[in-house]
Amino acid sequence: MNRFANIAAVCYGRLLGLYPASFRAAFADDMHTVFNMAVTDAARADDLALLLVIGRELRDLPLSVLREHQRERTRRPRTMQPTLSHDERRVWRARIFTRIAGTLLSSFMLLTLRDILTPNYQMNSSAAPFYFFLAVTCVSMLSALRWERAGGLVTMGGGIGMGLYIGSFIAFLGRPDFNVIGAILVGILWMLPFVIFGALFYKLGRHQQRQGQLVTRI
Amino acid sequence: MNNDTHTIQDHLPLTEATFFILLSLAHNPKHGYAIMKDVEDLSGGRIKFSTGTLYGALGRLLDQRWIEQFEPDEPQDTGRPRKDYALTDIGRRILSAEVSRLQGLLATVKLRFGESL
Repeated sequence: MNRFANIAAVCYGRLLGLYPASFRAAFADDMHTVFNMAVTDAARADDLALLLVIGRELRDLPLSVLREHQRERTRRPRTMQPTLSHDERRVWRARIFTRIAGTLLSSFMLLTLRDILTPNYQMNSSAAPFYFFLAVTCVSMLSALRWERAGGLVTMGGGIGMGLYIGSFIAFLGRPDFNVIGAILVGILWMLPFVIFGALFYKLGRHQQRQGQLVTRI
Repeated sequence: MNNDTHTIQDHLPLTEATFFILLSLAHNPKHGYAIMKDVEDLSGGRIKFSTGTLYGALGRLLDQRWIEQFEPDEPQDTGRPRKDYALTDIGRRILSAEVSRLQGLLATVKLRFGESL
């Protein structure tokens, strides 16, 4: 590198300080290296080529610096698109509905469980697995607000377990006034809301993951 | 899949700079200076990036996850750490969609003017 190129490289290093800190942290070393390579190559050719490289940098520098500061100010969290498309609005509405309805359902069931688990309540010990499944399912549905896929899967599993248990409990151990079909229906009725909400949470989580993988911010 | 295609189409057409950067990375990963030189070659000398423009564009492509950054195994001659860039799967699909779009445009022009144009 000739002397002029050396001076240019030092000056360029100083000018990189004009970029926002996060941009500098990510790219300044690389940019300096690339600039050095460019001026070295140009200096090998002739002085005019060197001047052209430096001139191009100086010409683009103000706009690049302004653009990066602007980008830094408007930096948004990684989202699919700046405005929601029709599909995205549908997903957004589905998510709001699922969250509100899921929270209400699981809160109601947990409050009921709290009453059941008070010392005054005469709990049938053979129904304990049912209460266990109910508690797991409600807690997992609430946790699906944060971890949609995992929470949705556990909710579905808990719902299925709860439905199977209560169905077989009624059919084999419990109520003589219920026949097998009645027991199956009761099992399905207990199972269904949790399976539906679990599946909804899981699907929303999958959708979110796919979108995250695809595109982020414009 | 339809949703993916829809999302990819939302990003087209690409700017010329973005298109050439993605095209430059289509075959193999490159570091910044190699991208700069390659784009200059690919565009017949028409597009000459300054470092600010190049890394601004690379930053946006990284944010969009169309490209990814990594440190190569072999150290650089200068001793400075060097970062290479490679197309991600999304970047490749977007480039491919843009190439298809351009081919479609060209086919339309040919249909109208024949091969004489």
